[in-house]
Amino acid sequence: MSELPGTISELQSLLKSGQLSAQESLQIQRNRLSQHASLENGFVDILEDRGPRVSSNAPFDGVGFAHKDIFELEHRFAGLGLGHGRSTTATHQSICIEALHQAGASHFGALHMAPMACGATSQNEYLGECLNPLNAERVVGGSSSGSAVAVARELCFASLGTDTAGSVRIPAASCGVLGLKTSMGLLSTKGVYPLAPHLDTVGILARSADDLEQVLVQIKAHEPVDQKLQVPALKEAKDFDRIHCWLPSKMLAASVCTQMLECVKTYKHAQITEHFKEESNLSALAETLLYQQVFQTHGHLLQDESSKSNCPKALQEMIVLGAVLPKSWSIQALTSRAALLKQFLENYLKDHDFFMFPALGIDLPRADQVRMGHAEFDAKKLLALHRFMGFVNYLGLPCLWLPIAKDSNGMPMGVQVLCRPYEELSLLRWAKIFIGKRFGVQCVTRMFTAVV
Amino acid sequence: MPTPDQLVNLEDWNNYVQGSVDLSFAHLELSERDIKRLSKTFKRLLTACPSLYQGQELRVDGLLKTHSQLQEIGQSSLMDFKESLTRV
Repeated sequence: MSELPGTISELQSLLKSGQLSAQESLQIQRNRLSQHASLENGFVDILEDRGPRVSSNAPFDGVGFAHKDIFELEHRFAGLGLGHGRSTTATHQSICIEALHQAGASHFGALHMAPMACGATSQNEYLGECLNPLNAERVVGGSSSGSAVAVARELCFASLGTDTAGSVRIPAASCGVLGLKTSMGLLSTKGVYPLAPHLDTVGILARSADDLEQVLVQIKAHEPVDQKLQVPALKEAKDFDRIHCWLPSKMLAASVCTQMLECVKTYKHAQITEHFKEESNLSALAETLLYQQVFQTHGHLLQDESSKSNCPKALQEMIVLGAVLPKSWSIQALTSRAALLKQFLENYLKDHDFFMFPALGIDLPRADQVRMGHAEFDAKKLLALHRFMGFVNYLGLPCLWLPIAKDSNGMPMGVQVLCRPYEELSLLRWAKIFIGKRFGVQCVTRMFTAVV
Repeated sequence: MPTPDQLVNLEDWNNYVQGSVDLSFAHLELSERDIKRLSKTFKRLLTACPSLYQGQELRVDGLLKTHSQLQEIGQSSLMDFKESLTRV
């Protein structure tokens, strides 16, 4: 056997039936890596297999993962999109990575990201850009760029990224993989380099809803015991399907509207809202909190010239914004969150289970159109990548990007769907049914491209 | 502190931005281009969320001189928010 199936679930069936051993599976994946792992395909560093784990016959035996280079590993400092990782004897492995290790996962590599997680594209002045596997001319979203590319390229089965203002959902949307931003606090950020701790969340990118569910469940099952006391549990999966859809037609390309309407109309309990009046308020508060938090976390980098020279340009701009914003704005952004969350849930999810809304709102741009400094740069297109993202982090809610169609260039077109806190399993159960009905497959990437 | 209505031209906005720079960051020496960019962001945020200005009417700025005080408020509000997530 030289090729593997597209999803973890299918691979597990092969392993269970004895048609393939875990060692053979890993060997096939490593062979594939040796041919294709490169910066362009999202890999910053390839990692060697770690020693034996506590249990054998673990659920992810034979399954290869690779993660955004923002997670601390045993004996390795994260490269953060600034360069390669550095060896150390002192670091503590990220809680999430350790949990996956205990679940049997092999960790193949550290993946490309926007420098210090600051960027909606894969533009990176330190490493160069990675390429969109569906079409090299089109942008790869950021900041978890390598995660989306590696999963779409089938160089790993799933990948952890981080999402502070869309950094899992934007790259997922650009490469046609599923991207789940989890509820705030559900997955531990211990061992994850912070950008804005009040907004940072760990997210998962994979090729099927089943795989997302498995990764999430296994991380929760293998978290260290003391973490379980501090972090909330997942709620049990239910058969939810009542959808409240925000369709701001004036802000969207006509094709996006048409496809979203088509998705919603198949549901008996669906409501379409043209105006989500709180959105601009929430987005502005999210942005304010982001700047304040970035300043709080990284302000010291601008204190002297030597640290400033190592601070990415995009991060510098955010730090300065955080430094000059009136403190009363920050206080308002900090203190009004709980009330605004309650109001949002009351207004949009009281009689519905899911809130569906646009992801990009336009066809996926070319990379040069959103590359700062390029002659073709179009600020509106760059804004369109993250326009509908930040308010979700402000509200702390779980949110999934999933494809609904192809755009006029054959690239993925998708939507975001959010739900109440810690109801990720219900959201993923719904997504699995939705994808199956709409596309007749579970492995979403194989709808868009032939695998390399 | 002027109200947003009183900030009618770019110079007003520039003064507004310069007036709000944290004292510990006076060394940032913002260029004219920086100030313009910041002014635009301020204006955009205030336009999207006019209630941001209402906070200023409370004159909180005058009472909070350091970002460490802001950090304390941040910690307690984060705990409140996390608790509210588990309650809904």
